[in-house]
Amino acid sequence: MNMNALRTNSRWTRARRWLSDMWILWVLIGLMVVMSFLSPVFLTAENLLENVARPASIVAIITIGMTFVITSRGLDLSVGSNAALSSTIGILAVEALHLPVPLGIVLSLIVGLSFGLVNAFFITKIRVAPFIVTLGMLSIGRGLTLAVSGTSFTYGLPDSYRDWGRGSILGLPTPFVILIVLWIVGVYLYSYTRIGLYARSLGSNESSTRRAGINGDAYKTLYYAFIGVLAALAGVLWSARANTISVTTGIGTELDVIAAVIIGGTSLFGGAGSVTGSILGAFALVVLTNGLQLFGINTLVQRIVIGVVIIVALAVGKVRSDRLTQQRGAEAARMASSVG
Amino acid sequence: MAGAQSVTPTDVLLVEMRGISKSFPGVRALDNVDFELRAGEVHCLLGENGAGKSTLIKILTGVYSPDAGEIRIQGQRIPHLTPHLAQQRGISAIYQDFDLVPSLSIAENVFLGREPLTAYGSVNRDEMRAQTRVLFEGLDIKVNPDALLSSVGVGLQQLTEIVKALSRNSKIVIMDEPTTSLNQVEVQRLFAAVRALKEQNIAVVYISHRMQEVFGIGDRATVLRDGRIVGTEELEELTTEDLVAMMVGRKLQERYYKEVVTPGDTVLELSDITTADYVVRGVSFRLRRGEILGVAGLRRSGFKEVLRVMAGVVPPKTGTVKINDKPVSLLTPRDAIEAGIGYLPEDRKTEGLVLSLAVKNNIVLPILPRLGRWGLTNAGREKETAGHYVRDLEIRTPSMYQETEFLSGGNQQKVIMAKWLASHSQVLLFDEPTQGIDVGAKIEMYKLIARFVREGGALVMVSSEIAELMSICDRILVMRDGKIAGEFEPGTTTEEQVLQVVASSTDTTHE
Repeated sequence: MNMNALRTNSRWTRARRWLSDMWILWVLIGLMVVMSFLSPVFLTAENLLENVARPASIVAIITIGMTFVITSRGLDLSVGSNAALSSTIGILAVEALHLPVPLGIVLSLIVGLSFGLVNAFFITKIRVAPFIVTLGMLSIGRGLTLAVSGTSFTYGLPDSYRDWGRGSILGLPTPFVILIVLWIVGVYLYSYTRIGLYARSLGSNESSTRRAGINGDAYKTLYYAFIGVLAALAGVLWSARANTISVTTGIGTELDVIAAVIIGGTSLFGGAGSVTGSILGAFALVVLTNGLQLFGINTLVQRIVIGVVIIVALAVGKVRSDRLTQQRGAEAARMASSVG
Repeated sequence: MAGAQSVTPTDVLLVEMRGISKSFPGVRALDNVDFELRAGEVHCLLGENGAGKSTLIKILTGVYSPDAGEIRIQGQRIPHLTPHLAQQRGISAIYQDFDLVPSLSIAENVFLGREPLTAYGSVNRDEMRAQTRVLFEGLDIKVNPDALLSSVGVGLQQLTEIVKALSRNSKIVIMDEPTTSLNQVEVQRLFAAVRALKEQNIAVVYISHRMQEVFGIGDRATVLRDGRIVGTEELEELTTEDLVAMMVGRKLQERYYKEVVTPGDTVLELSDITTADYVVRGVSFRLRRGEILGVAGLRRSGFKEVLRVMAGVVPPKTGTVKINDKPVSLLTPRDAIEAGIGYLPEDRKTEGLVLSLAVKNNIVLPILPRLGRWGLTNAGREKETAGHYVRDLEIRTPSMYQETEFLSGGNQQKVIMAKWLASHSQVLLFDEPTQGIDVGAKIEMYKLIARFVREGGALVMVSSEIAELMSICDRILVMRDGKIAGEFEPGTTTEEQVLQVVASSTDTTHE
């Protein structure tokens, strides 16, 4: 038998495999190198912190939750609407009911959690396809946002609220610091606990997972609740950064989030994924947008370029993973045939 | 081979089932059945499809509850056995479609749902790896516990199931047709693992259609027929013929059926066929009318891929195919069908049939354009054609409108055969024609094959059962590393001689 089959992967092999699986890291670095050559402004601290890290962090926070959801073979299209609805309710409570800011934010997170639980209820108990449930909730969330905010247009939030989106901690944008904390939590949950393990298991073979005595519905509910809270948090950071309630907050965000997760290496068909990859994916998309803006390229063209990049990235990823599968399959075949 | 093991079963009864009966609407699935298991024995469970084997297993694993009778596990009477209770009492079942998760590692699969945790509540991977390795070593196998399940072969996946059962402290392991998708090397490894289980005083219930295996690994056999026990016997005291007779209830003169047909002209000729992935390399042979050609080999030797080339599924990179001396290009399955080649794949359910379609629709699927006109289908002629073949091949189905997924394996195979007869195929490519089909239906299949070649057809069949090839074929080609490594005529060779060429491992360092 081949020696490699006997040895547990050494730390070094694992690190190498991680780096090769983490090709989105190379994509991100490549994009940044290209952008710094093309625009003198790109590689300034001001641009990187304010125009890249700050907005990217807000989207990236949602991708952490989406990684769990997609890995377990689910989908959540309602994150943008959830962000808008939860942040709006929280801010209205602060403005109209004079609720303290921290409580307002907690209220937003609770709304986000409930939003996720509603998704989870229909998906696990009524067994409606996640695509349908969350598409419906996308529409419902947007409608409710309009309904609660009415035509009122609040500009100018309390400073302590605004700081969540506009402030800095140790020179780093607050949303970025929050992202770093959530990244560590996310990686821990995904790679070191049952929560992540069962997401992979459910996404790969749900019936076997259930037969192993695992409460699949409970775990799925956890994933949708988690992404609900994260979407609400992103909504809060968004409004704080914009210094306003906006019913248009997060329109189309679901697509950016899903694109970031998929180009970050999570399989759309479930079973495998990477929290770090998703976050890097979100940054790559923002770097690209930022670069195009710096060149003064028209917004419409930006959307087209981003669309093309997503498709190309996924196509390349698919070809890569097919080749990897083939290689690893061939390895296994060689091992099997050399046994006798 | 029976009794050759160093370990002899003990007399400790792990399971006693007495007077078990179970009925389903319209069917008496089990009628007053007694079944017992001793610690450390391999107990083979035999019977044709529908004899009651799977009902018995489902009662033992707590999936079904019996209408009458009692079950004792390790001496203790258990009135209401549930799947959970059965597992707790040490009963594990390994089914043909494994209960495993492809994207998890071997260790993660073994401990799924029962992961050891660290003090901080995270999954203790080191512990899982170590325990997995120890359990595999108990079966004399070394593995990388981090290997993804999807990256390892079927053989190792099966062993992972066994290890999973061991990690649950199972005392009784039920294996349902465990060798169906294994090659001969993997079968040997499985047998070694089963012997290791015996040494640990575990009882194994072994369900198989393959007599060779039953005698190779079993200590005792229980035969079921029509829901009743025909007998439980020590295998040492039985012959294959005895067992088959017990199963089918009539003494079969032979397990195989073959007619002598004088071969005619060459109908198919392959010259120097190589595929793009080099799984098949420079293969040439001829096939004559009236001939049954067998192809043998280990997995990935290219023996199944040759069939897929001729079926137009895998287009060859180089080389030519001639039908009736005229070169044809087989780039798609359509090309092959038009050239008169019909392919009966190993995986009947996904490749051979459209399971959700009726018998009739499956039969006429390739010839719809011929039966209809102006792009329209012709219901009358479809019905007529399908009806003809349903009667002719004696396909047992309530009607030709029955969805094929509800047919037995043998009858599904007949539907596929009918499809190719209806499209006037002159060459049939048969991949594992009798796999998972019970003994009685096998004979019927052989008779249909014999009739097809008698009437001027030619047939290539691939089988991992050498005995089947030896009994049915006129010629046997053995493939190894994508090339033809030998050609045999069954009349002048022994099974061992063929097996030697099939299994002789090639030394890749000299390539």
